Amino acid sequence: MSAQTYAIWRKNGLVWLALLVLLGLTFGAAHIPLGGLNVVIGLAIAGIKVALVVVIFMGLGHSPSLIRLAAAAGVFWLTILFVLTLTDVVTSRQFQNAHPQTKGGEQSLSRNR
Amino acid sequence: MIARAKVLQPPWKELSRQREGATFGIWIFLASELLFFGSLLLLYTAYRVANPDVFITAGRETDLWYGTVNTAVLMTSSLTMAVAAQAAEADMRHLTIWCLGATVVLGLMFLVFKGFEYAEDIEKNLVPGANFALKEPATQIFFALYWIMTGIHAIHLSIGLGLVGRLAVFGALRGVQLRENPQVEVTALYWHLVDVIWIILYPLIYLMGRS
Repeated sequence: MSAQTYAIWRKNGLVWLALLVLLGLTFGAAHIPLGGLNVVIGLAIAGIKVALVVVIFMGLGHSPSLIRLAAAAGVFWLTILFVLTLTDVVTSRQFQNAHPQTKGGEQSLSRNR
Repeated sequence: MIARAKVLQPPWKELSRQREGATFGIWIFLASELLFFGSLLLLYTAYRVANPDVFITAGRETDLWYGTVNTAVLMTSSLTMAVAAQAAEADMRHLTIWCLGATVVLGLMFLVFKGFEYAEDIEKNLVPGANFALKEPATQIFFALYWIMTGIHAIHLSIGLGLVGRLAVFGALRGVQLRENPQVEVTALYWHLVDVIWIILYPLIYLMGRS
């Protein structure tokens, strides 16, 4: 194996090992009863894994600012999509819990039980 | 020079400019893909906020082992894809072709495992409809989202298999020059995005209600 081949495998192999360790961690953490924290930990570890793939495998870490801007624009619009929609979803649910007789908001989103 | 002329396409006069354009273009596309999957994730979030306990009951019915093994398989395919792309830059033709081939094999492995998992889900009556296995109606919403999200992900992965396989075959037959070819980087970035989407889906689909 040439020095260059070794360098490529070493750099990417370390990221891969980190990804597998994180997969083991998130798998293990899901089996510990932590209530609402379980989903938070699951998503936090997924976030770290995504960051590793995007920054190193996809090379965003050493990309020109134009490329970073394109990636950031996607995250920016996604944030707006989530924040504006969830503002309504979360608050109308709280309103329904406080006033169960009121049939407000999205019917299909109310408890289907 | 002849090989380079094959890579350089109009309207570009320089390969470096073409590569910048291709990378910028695919990132714009990936950002739009993020919004595409993001809208499905938003739907999932809204229904989960409305039915928190039922979603956990439903999530418990998914097969944790298929999901976890497939996550490892897909992350490994991202490793081989990243090595292929960097080897192509460094003009290491054999390593590039071998790693592209390994990526295709790992991608196929993912689809085979997914197929077995789907067969198991169908056998357990986890397809929304009249014979659905679980009682609470909202569990069907979870499984509708499960089928849509994993199905669309599998379609993306299949498209990626075609793109990576094409580079591997034509690269090996010398029909495509792999060195400095923007197609290699664009394909790699698309493949990594498919992996990223799965990494986000994994805790939302498979890790619920396991404690």
